[in-house]
Amino acid sequence: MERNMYFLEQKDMPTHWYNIQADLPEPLPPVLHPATGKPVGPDDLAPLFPMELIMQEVSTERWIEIPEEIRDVYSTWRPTVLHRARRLEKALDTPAKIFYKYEGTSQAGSHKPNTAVAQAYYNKKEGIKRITTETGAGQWGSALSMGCAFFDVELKVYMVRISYDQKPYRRILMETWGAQCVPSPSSETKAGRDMLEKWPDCPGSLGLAISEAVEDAVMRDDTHYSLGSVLNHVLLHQTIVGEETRKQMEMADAYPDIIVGCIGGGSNFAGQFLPWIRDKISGEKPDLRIVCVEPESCPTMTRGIYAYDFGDTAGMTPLLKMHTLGHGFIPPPIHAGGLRYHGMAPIICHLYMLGLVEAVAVHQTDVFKAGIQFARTEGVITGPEPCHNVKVAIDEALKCKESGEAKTILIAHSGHGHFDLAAYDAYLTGKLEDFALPEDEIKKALEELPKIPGQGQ
Amino acid sequence: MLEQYDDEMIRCPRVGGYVNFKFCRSENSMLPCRWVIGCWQPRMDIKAFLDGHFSEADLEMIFVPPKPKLESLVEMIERVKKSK
Repeated sequence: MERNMYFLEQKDMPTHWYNIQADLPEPLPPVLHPATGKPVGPDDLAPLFPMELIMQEVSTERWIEIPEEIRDVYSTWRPTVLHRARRLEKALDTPAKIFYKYEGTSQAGSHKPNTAVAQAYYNKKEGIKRITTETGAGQWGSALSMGCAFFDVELKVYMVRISYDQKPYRRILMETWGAQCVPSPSSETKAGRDMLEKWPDCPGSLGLAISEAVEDAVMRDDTHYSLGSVLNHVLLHQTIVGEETRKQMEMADAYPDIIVGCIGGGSNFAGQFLPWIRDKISGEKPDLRIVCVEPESCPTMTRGIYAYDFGDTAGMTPLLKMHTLGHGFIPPPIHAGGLRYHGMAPIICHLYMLGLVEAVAVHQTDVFKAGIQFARTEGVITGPEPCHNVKVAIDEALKCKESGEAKTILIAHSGHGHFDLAAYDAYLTGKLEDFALPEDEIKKALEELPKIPGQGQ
Repeated sequence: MLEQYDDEMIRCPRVGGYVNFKFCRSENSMLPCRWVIGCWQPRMDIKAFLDGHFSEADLEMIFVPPKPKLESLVEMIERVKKSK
């Protein structure tokens, strides 16, 4: 029988997280305090986060030990398995070798508990009794609920009301793990009350849910706030995924030529690729390709306010006034535009700007087509986000079929899609549409964009 | 009419599920989501819709670049501290 799974013994689970900040060719730019203009310091963040997490946020130490208490909890589902997708390879008739590291076997069904458990632990250690957070569809909220249950920390989740009403199963998961889940806007914060007064039927928004969770935390001395993506310490905690994968790929006597992963807040993919990118930075593996995948239709990434974002990053906002609405601006579908999106993890933005990672955008019907193929060959019902990775992995494998190259492709698979079956249903019943701007509009928009040094268009 | 597209549905990558257009046109403190153009442009004349229903000041407010996460958190902390 051919080997399809690579298991690590629990004793071989990594004992340290890898901190990319030690190896960045250029350090991350400092975050400035909006009021003083000076770099944000630990005291500025102390109302929300425990000091150990704040120090991890800015640490340049290469290896940060995973406390034994966290490893104990990790060991309830880790190490996760590295799979060889041989059935997919056969279906594609490709010489490529496809591996996927599957995080869907955590109790919460995704990679999110890797940081949820750590954050609950550090808060508990600092004497914090209660944590607040926000959640959209509930994936982060449920992971943190589980993390807090392990360390007996109270949790209150502000869930965007539209999801709260539409996704009762996620709420029930959170409540089962002991969290209190309230729809946002709620009547429990000033931010929520103000909104309800203006608009009693408000469906909520992520921004408002964050405001409520932060307000709740700042108002109480026994409470902190927790975030499941974007921040450096979150990405740090996820590196256990990539560190495990390195050991497992060694067991498979393989090294990836291409690593693919989707990017939202960046925590899943960063957790996988950061432990590999150090080989590229050191020059040991200069040809390693790290491909960030984003949806062609996703406004936060490929279109939307791309130009505005870029303006902000470059400090050239006045220039971009030229492209405000009503002045002929058509958001261009420039791949990887969202990598400059400020909702994206600064580390990923930075690596992109340094040319160490690349990006590609894919259409959503193709994404679900790939998800279906993966389900029918490998058996895994993949979440909509990691379906993007599967799509790009299939594309790369098919390129290998044409070229005859036997490349090794590694998929960062963040979890299952058991709570996202409505999206599969929409695909299977033909309700998903692909969005694409006509070529002439794209060309016109590109011609109208300001020429900014260093911007590869 | 402001409500003309309210029942149109789309998968919101931020929220992680299906939402209607009413949500998209109002989720940003009762103004449209800043990503509304990219999401809806292929399905409707979203620019005409926005120009027809929102002032230039509103639109500028919508498309203010988002701040880096840490910076926005610090800003929120300061705001809450002041109101304590």
